[in-house]
Amino acid sequence: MTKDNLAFRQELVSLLPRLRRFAIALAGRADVAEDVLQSAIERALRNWTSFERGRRLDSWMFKIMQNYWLDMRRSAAAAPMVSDEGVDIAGEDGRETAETRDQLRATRAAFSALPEEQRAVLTLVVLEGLSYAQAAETIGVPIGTIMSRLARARAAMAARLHHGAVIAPIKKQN
Amino acid sequence: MLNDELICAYLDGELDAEKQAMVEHWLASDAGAAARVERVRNADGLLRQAYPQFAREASDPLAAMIISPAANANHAAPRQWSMRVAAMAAACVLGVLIGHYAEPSNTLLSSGGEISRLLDDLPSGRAAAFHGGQFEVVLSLQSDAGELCRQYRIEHGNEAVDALACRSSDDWRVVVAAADSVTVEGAYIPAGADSPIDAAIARLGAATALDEDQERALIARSWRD
Repeated sequence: MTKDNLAFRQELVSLLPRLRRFAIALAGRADVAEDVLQSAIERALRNWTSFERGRRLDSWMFKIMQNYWLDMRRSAAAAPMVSDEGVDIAGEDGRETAETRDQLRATRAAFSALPEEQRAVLTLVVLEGLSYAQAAETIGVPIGTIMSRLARARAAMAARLHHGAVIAPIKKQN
Repeated sequence: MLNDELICAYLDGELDAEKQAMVEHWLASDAGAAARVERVRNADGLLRQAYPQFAREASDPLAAMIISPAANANHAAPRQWSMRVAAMAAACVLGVLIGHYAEPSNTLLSSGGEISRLLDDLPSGRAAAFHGGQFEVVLSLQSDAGELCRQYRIEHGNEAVDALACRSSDDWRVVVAAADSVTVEGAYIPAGADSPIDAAIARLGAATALDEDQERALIARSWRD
């Protein structure tokens, strides 16, 4: 293994927590997310020589994951897989107080209800802090598309979270 | 008019100074617009709370898969010459290794201390002749606890053994060894997520693959502290 390959692998490991969050955001389900993540990593390891130095590895990985997810969706064109039921998303500190739990569950429900291209943009910009230009490059669309998807996604999220009645009833866990 | 795209660009810091000032001016004079921006800002905050960054797990199987080149099919490329090695009678050392699969022990190293010497001296990615087959160190690792380990592979004909040895006092202790098959093309079957080697690496906890310079320094001082 060359030094470059080692450095590549080490950086990939350090990105895992962020990649995993992106996978969850895309897939909406922990088990599917893990499959997306693992397959994207296998793809990346096979094709690491095509990764250009100086590019952002996170952005490259997000792109691979997005492509893999789209392929997967196409081949399983059946029922929508969007469901946050059962996804255990405890915070980094594992704390979710009783008061905020319902609100966060409602947030996940609102997010899951968005079209997946809007979820991807929202994740990259709001959660990952990518610039519009970086998000556009990652997803492979013009910046204008990023802006309009982002605007629609945020308007929908804000509306759902602001008007309690619009929030879908939350099923009890277990 | 403050449209949704402008609100977003404002919140994301994508506006130039002039437009930024213009939006701020609007917000100061239009309570309705300010409330819209606040709603979006709140929704963003909730989203960040709802999808927190995952903590790095001490033994993430994916991390083990990434640092263990067994997961990388391309890794087979440099060992093609080994396929020219005639499939003679299986070397007894291979038999010994496979025999100890269930219970690896120091007797594994009793095949002349040869493995120990190779583990001491051979840089990763370099192959050495070994009992009619070849010996290759795949990777050197250091756990966060400071333990030094090397993953290696012995091939003979169309059989192979993958193993992980860790430095223990002044010698190498074999942690795990597993038999594997080599395909005709020379690409060996990548170990799955449940391979004993990956599991053993995962048990090291957080471990870092050593780079060439770090490895060279350790070889120079015979892996002693």
